[in-house]
Amino acid sequence: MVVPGKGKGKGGETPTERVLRKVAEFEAKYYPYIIVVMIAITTIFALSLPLLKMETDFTKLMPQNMKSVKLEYDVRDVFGSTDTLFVLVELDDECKYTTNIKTIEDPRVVNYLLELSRGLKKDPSVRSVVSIAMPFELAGMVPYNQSLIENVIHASGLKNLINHDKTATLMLVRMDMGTSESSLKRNVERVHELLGSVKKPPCVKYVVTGNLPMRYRILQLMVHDMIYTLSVAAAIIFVLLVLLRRSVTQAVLVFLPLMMGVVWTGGIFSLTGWELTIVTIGIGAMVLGLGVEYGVFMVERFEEEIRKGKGAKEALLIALPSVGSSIMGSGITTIAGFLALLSAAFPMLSLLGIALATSISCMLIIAILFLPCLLMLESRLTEIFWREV
Amino acid sequence: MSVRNRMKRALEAYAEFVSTKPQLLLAVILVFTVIMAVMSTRVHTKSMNYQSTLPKSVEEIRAMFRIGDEFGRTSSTMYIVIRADGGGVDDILSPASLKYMASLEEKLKTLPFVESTNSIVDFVMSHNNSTIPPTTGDVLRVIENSKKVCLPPGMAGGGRAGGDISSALRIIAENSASLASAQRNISTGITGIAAGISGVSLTLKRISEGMRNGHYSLDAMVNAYTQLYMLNYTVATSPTLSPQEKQAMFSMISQLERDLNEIADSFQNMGERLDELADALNGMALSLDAMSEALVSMANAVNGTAKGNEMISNALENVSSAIFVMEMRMKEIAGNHNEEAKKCVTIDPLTGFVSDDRSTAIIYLSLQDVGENERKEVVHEVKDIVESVPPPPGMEAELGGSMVYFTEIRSRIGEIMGKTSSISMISILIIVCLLLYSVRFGLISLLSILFGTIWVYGMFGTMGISVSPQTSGALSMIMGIGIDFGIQVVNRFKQELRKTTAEKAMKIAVTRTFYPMLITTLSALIGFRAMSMGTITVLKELGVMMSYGVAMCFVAAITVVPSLALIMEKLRIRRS
Repeated sequence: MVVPGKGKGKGGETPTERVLRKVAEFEAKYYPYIIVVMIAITTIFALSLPLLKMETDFTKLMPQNMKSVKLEYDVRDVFGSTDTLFVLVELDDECKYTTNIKTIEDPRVVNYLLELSRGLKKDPSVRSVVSIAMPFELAGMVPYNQSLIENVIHASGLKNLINHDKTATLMLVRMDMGTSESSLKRNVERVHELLGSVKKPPCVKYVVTGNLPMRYRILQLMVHDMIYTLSVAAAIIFVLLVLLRRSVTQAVLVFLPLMMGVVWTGGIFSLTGWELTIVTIGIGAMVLGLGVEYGVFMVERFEEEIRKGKGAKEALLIALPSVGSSIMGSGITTIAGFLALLSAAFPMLSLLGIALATSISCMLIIAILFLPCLLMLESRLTEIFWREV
Repeated sequence: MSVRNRMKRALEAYAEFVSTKPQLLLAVILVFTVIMAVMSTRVHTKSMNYQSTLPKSVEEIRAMFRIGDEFGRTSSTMYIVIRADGGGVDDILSPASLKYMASLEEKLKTLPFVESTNSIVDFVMSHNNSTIPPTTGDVLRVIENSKKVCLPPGMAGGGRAGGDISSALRIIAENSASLASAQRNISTGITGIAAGISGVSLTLKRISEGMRNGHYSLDAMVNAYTQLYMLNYTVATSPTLSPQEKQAMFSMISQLERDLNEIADSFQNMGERLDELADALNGMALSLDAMSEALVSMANAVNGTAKGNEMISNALENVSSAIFVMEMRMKEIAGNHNEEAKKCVTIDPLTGFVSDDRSTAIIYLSLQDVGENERKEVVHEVKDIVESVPPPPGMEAELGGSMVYFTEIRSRIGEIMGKTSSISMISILIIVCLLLYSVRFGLISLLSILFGTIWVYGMFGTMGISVSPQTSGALSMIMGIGIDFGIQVVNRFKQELRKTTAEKAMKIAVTRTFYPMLITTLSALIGFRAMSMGTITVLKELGVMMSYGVAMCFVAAITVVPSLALIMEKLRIRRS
C-alpha cells in the first residue's frame, strides 16, 4: 500500500519506500547474482521436501493443557495404544461367483475367522482378539453343523458381534500400534498382511477400520490432496495469468516466484520439523491464490514504466518502492491475521497460523527480492534478442 | 455497447450512488447486517473425530458407518483411569480398589449406551466364583492360578487334525465330499467325451454316405453309353450322309467310345475303393457309437457313486458334529481328573489393565454409537457416575478417551474463535492505523472484515454450515485476507481527498479500486476452490468457508466502507 501523508520524508517518500528504493538499486546492479543465490536456496528447500512430516494423531493436535489430553498421554505411556481395531467380515453381495454361503455363521466363515484370529495373535503387538470364533478357538476346531455353531455363539454371549440379517460379523482387535506415523503405517500394513495371508472362503470380504486404520487412510489422502489441490490451483492460475497478461512470458514471470514460494514454505517446514496436518495440507493451493496479486502488481507496474519508454533499471527504481510498499502493507496485515491463530493454544490452529504466515512471508520476500531481478533479466534478454534480430 | 463498457458504466453509476446517497446505502446495509447477525446465531458447532475427516466413499468409513448402524459400536474411546495418589490404598489390586472398580462397572452397565466394560475386576471375579477375594494376597493368588489356561488334551491349538474321532470323521467327510465332487467332475467329463465321440461317429457316417453317393454317380456313365449307341445308330441309318462321311463319323464315335470306356474303367475302380472306404468309415462310426454308449453308462455310474459319496459325507459330518459335542464333554471330564495330561497356555491378565507398579488400573467402556449432539450427554452421565462413587482413600478416578476430549474441544470452539478473532482484529487494527497514519481511517477499513464476518456467519447459519474445531481458525484467516480490501478503498480515498471534494474522491476510489480488488478476490477464490476439491472433508469445508468469507469482505469493502468513510468525512468537514 502506498502510504501518503505524515510519514513522508525527503522527496515525498515514506521510510519503507526509501528502503525499497535502495533494495531496487542493489537489485539493478547485482540481479544475476541474486538470481543464482535465490535458485540455490530454492534447490536446498526442494531437496529437503522429502523430509516433510505429516501428523494425523488428533490428540497431538489438541490443546495440550487439557486434562483429558494429558490423561491420554499417561494412559499411552502405561498401557500403550487405547484404540481398538475393527475387522468387519461381511458377505460380498457383489460377488460374481455362485456360492452356497448364505450366512456369516457358515462353518467355512467361522473357520476363516478362527484362522484370522490365529494369524493376528502371532503378532506380538496384538493384545486380544474378540470374535464369534472365540469358543471354537479354545476347542481347536469348528463343527460342520451350522445349528451347533449358532447355539455355541448364542450360549457364549457373542451374538452381538453378528448383525441382524447375519451378513456381517465384527472382530475386535486390541493392539499396541505405537503413536508415531511410521509405526502406525508399519502396523496397519502388517495387519493387512496378516489378514491377507489367510485364505478367504468365496464371496466373503473384510475391511479393517477404527481410529488407527482411519488415521492411516488420512495419511495417504493427505499426500494425495496436497499434490492434487496444488496442481489444480497452479494450473488454473497459470491459465488465468496467460489470459490476463496475454503473454506466456509474463505469465511465467508471475508464476515462477509463486511456485518458488510454495517450495520455500515446504522446505522451511521440512527443515524446522513442523508437521503438516489435515488443515495445513491445503495451504499450497491457498497461498498460490493469495500470493498471485503480489506478482501481478509488480509485473504490471514494471511493464507500465517500460511502456512509457523508461529503461529496465529506471522502471525497477519506480516499480519496486511503490508496489513493494503496497504489497508489504497488504502482506503484513494478512500475516498479522494469520499469526493471531497462535493464540489459540490449539496446535492444529497454531500450525495453520505458522504455515500461512510463513508462506505469505516467503511470497513477499520472493516478490521483492527475486521477481524484480527476474524482470531485469527478462528485459536484458529481450534487449539482446532484438539486437541480434 | 460492449460488455466491458456496460460494466464500466454500471460501476460508474454505482460509484455515483455511493458518493451521493451514502446514508441510504448504509441504512440498507445495516438492515441486512441485522438479519445476518440473527441468522449467525443459528451456526452450530460440531465435534472433530477421524470419521468426520474422511468422505463416506472411503472403504474404512463405509465400514465404520455399518458398524455404527448394525453393531451399535463407535470408534470413539472412553475409559476410566484409577490411580493410587500416594496416601491410603496404594495397591490397585487391593480388595478395596477392586470393589470400587466393580461398583463403578456395575453402575456404568446400567447406562443404556454402555455395551460392556472391561477391566481386571472381570478377570478376577470370573476366576473366583464372581466374588472379590478378601485380601490382596488372595487376589494375587487368584491371578497367579488363573494365568495358566489349560485345555483338555488334544484340544489346545490342535487345529482340525487333533487325532479326535470327530476330527478324523470330519476329515473323512471332507475327503468324501471332495471325492464326490471329483467324481461328479469325472462323470461330466466322460459324458462330454461320449458326446464328442458320438459327434465324430455321425460325421463319419455322413462322409461314408457322401462316398456312396459319389459311387452312384456312375449311372450317368451308362446314360452316356446309351446316348453314344443311339448316335451310332442314327449315323448308320442316315440317308443324307455320304459313305465317306459316315465312315468318318463312325471312326469318331469309336474314339469316343474308347474314351468313355477308359473313364468308365477309372470310375469303376474308384467306386470300388469308395465303397470299401465308406464301409470302413461306417464300421468305425458304429464302433464309436458303441464306445459313446459305454462311456455314457460309465458316467452315469460315476455320478451315482458321487451322489453316494456325498450322502456319506453329509452323514459323516452329522456324526462328526455329534461326536464333537460328546468329545468335548468327555475331555472336560478327563481333563478334570488328569491335570498332567492337560495342555496349558500362560496368559498375563494384568497386561493392558494394570500398570507394572500396580499403581494404575483402567476400565475400558464399549459404547454404542450415539449422535453428534448426544455425545456431550454421554460424557456427562459417565462423569456423574464416576463422581457419585467415592474412591477408596488414596485413590482417584479420571475419565478419559477420545470421546471426552473431542467433546470438550467442541464446547471450546466459541472461546477459541472469540480469542483468535479478537487478537486478529486488534493486531490488524494496530498495523492498519500505522499504515494509514490515522485511527479513524484505520477503524473504517476494519469495517470490511467486521461486516464481512457477520455476513458470512449469517450465511453459514442460513445454509446450515457447522463450525468444527479444525475450521474455527477460518475467521482469523478471513480477517487477515479481507482487510486488504478495506485498506485499498480507504487509502485511495485518502489520496484523492487531497485533490478534490469528498464525493468525487469516493467516486474515484470506488471505480479505481474495484477491478484490482476483483482480481485479488478471484485469484484467492481459485486457491480456496482448489482446496475444496480435495478428498479430506475438513479441507473442503475450510475452502468453502474461506471462499464465502473473502467474497463477503469484498462486498463489504465496496459498500459499507465507502458509505461510512464518506459520512464520517462529511461530518468532520461540517464540524471543522
